[in-house]
Amino acid sequence: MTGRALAAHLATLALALAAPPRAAAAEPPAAGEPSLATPPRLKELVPAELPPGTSFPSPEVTVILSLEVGASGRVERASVESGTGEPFDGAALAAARRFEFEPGRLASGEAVPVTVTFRMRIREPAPAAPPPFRLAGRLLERGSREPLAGVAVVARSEGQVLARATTDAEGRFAVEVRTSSFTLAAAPEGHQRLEALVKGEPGETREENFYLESLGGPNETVVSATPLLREVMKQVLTAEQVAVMPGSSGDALQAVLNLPGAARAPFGSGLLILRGSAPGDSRVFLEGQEIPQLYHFGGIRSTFAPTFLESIEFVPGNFSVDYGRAQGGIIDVRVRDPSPLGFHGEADVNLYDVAVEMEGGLGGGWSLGGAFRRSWIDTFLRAVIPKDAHLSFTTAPRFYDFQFIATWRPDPSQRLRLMFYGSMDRVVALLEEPEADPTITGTFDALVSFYNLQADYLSALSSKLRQDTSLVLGLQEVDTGLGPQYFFDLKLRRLAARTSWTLELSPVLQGRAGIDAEVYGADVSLNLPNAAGPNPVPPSTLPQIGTTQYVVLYYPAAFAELRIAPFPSLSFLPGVRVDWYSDIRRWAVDPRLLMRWQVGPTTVLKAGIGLYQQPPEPQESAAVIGTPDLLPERSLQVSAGVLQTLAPGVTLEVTPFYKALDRQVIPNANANYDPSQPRYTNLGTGKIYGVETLLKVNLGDRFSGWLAYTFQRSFRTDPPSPQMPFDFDQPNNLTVLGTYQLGRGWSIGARYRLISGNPDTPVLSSIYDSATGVYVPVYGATNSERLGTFWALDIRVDKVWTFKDWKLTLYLDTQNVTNHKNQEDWLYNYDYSQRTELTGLPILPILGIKGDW
Amino acid sequence: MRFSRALPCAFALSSLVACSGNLLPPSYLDNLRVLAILATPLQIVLDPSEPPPTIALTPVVYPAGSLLTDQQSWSFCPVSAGSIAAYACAVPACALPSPNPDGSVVATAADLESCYPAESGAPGLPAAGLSSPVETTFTYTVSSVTASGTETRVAVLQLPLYLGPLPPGVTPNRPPAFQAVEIGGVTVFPAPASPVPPPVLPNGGSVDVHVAIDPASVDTYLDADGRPQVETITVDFYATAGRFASDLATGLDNTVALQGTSFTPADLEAGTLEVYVVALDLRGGQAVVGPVAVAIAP
Repeated sequence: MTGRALAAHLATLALALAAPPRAAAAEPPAAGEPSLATPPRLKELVPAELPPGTSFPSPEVTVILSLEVGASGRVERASVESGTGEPFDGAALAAARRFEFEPGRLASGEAVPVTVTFRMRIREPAPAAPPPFRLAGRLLERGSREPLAGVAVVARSEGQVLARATTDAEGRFAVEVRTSSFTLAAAPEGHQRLEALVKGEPGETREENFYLESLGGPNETVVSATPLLREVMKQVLTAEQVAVMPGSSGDALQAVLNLPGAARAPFGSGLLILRGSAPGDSRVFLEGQEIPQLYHFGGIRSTFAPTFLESIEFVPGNFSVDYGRAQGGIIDVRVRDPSPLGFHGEADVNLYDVAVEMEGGLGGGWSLGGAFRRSWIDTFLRAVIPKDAHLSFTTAPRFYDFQFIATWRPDPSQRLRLMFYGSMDRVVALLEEPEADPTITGTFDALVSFYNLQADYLSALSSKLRQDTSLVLGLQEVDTGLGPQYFFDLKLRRLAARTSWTLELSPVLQGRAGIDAEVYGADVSLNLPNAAGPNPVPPSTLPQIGTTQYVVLYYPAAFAELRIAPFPSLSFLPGVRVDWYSDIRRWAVDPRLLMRWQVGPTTVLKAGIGLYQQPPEPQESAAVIGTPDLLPERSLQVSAGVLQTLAPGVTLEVTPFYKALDRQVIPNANANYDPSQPRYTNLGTGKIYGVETLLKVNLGDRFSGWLAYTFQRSFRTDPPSPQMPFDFDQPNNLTVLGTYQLGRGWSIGARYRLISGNPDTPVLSSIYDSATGVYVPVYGATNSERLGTFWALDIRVDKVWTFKDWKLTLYLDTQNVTNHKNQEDWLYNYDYSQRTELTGLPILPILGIKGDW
Repeated sequence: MRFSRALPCAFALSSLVACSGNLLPPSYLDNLRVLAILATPLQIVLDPSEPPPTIALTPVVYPAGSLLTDQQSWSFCPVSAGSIAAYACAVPACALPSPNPDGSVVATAADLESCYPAESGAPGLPAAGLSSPVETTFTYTVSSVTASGTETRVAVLQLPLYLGPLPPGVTPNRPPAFQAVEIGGVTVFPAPASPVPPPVLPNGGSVDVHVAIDPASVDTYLDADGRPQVETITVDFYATAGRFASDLATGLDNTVALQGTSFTPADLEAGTLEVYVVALDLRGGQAVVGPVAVAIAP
């Protein structure tokens, strides 16, 4: 029976019951004849079966039949009394002949044949309910194709909800509807709403991806860490923020230097100067393990490309006991795992370098990613070298770096990540004629590289105990030489291990302990001018110092920390770190205490005090060229801060700080002529104080930015000299930056910096060294002058075209758009009687194009 | 592991080389200059078996002959803190005898020893003693009165002082010697037997200055680690007008162009300029050729 026939059957049944039977006799029974007591009663109705596609003249047709119902209840004869025509009449007769009745009966109960008139109404069947349309879809972020999980999806039509679903971890969902047209709606957080009209055929099964634009973008945050704040001031920049930060060219470490507490590094130096500390006093980590070399040549690009960057944690001082061997501050670069879903990639080409990246999931909990970047500034550099510079490049400055990451997540409680990353910088130049000093000539060759193999394993041993472990095997090489006489060659093999256990005993008490060990094997060979003084002099006038040795250094350490929270709003973090420095054979014990108090819903007070020590630099403590019995350098750091939420999206953080330095390693000038005296002493002291201010503004999805101002003074006393400003003492450091989303993929950002010039030592006169033919400067009081104030405006414009499967970004990041000539130093003539300003970067536009899919 | 105070900055070096600016080059002579200090001998040997040493020191100053005797002086420092401390004297310096009118001076052993406190041997030196040789310093100060005031120049010459006989393998240092100097094809050293026309530098043109050093004058010495090293000879070029393509060169045979550019009206009016060539062995030995007159062709 076809569907249509069945429909007719049902219609027939409904109507047949209403038809009145009548006696089979044509005439009323004569007197004395038995009369009919009960008429036949239909027991089973058989529907009229019409051929498929029968056209009804009207919604309902009626066929009046005459049926002779026998004593058995069967229809003995059937005829049409009043018909509609074929095929309705025939169908009605055929159906009627199969009717079964309860026979009519006389009063005596005897069954008798009876003729009845049966009115069969055949109604045109209603259209059949169509088969459902099944839509299997995926919600993905537009451009990145990241799945949007846990999103409610609704199919609706004419105000009625037809179906509901929720996306799974891969962003997949399925709805089944019985209409051919409906609206699919979803509203994932931080993304465009989905309102899509979907049309399909009944019974059709379709798969379709829906791409939703991310609204949050980089404007979300300068996040102040996690609720468990273990530092007085810790700022976190996300990868998205870094990518569009004006003036930073998308570089991670450049971006972090816009935060309060970071001084501006001089042109090309790439120095890290945190909270008034010397560059060598701060350390940069990658997932807790130190990066051997921060920047490529020129200080514009850091050695770890931002492709796999998740965030950067910036702590200019009072950092936790996890970190040591540094008396300044720290930066920890956090790495993201490669995407386990699908395959993604990125290619970035700009005027400075070119980078490619690929990543994807391998199944079984594994995901894999790799990135490679190479500069091509060497292509342009030859063109800008003046013809009279007497300099030619055999190998112009070039660099590459790479990162390979494999992550295994067998279950939510474990993660193993393997990383292999490295960097190489190379330049070979020929100084055809000495420019100013007879020893500065010949081939200048510099090769700086490192390769690290790092494994991180994170495991939740129980619901309250977690273990983090990392292991690094590294090789660092530095081969530099100038002419036949000056060289510095270093081959450093490094094995470092760090593990920590975090035990959450209760909301009131948490414990944390760990070990942090490093072992170095260093081949060192050098022959250099012995420039053991605060100010530079011509190298040809200096005695040379040379050595070749292999040393093994090991720095084991252990640390422990408690988190005591007597009230949910108040917590104390006392901790201690114990280090052993094998080069000077000394212990260092660093107690530290941090406090955090949530005074109210909008106010947080923070404070910290602690001791921070670090070993001398290897050349300072080396047996032949240094002083092996030095003490560790140390600083006492005190800071206190308030974090105030002024309005939704607007916070103000103010952090005063003070640092007292002692045991600072300084060269001993007397050792220049008296070999019995130590080359270095621990007589240096210093003090640093200031206040850091950070006003952050996040206005919806459109604008975010901050104003960072640091007032800071940093002084050193290197006996017998009196107290002097530190080389990078920058009393005023103001950075204002912001990025505005214009819409339609356009965004514009700007950064303005106004920073005190660095201290400088004036040259009062000069002395002609007739043996070498050069003039030796006679300096005035160290750092008694100051270079000109630095200011620069940087602007970045991004345009993003978002397609279903990929995004195309065109960007122009222009540093110093006003081409302001900022003084970086003085350039003196041969006898120091004349000088002119040595200025830094002129306007530097970096135009680039990036595609990611 | 930190090497922040040790690693050279390659990029900064290339930047400095590239940014020479518009400052006057050292090869251009336009004011009072000490060009060299010629010493004989080039080391001081306190050998009891030898006669007391006598050191003859002669400055080469530009402009020649314009100085007054009382505007020149010499001093001696037995132990200097070196260039890093602007040659500050570890023990008080003392004055040497008044120089001759040409600035030269002869320092006897008595002059030198008078600089030490009484208990000498090498007295007055730090109690821990010194390792021989000691870098001693002779300082020459000269002044000249010009229309704009008094110009003063200070120059030093460091010579090694051996606290006993020369160690085995150490030979006395000798100054470098010129083999030939030619300017524009005209030999100016050795001096020609008969007068020849001076070299000519065309205004806007250039002439080559060729300097050859006598290889026999190049010494071998032992460095601080006792390894034998061959002296590196440097040649400094000076001119009172025009510009040298390079201020200095290294090696035994060098040719540097003297360009007829940047002439002042006074240069063109005078029609001549002077050239000096100074050779150095970077160990105290020096030799000078000059002044050599060069005609300027308009």
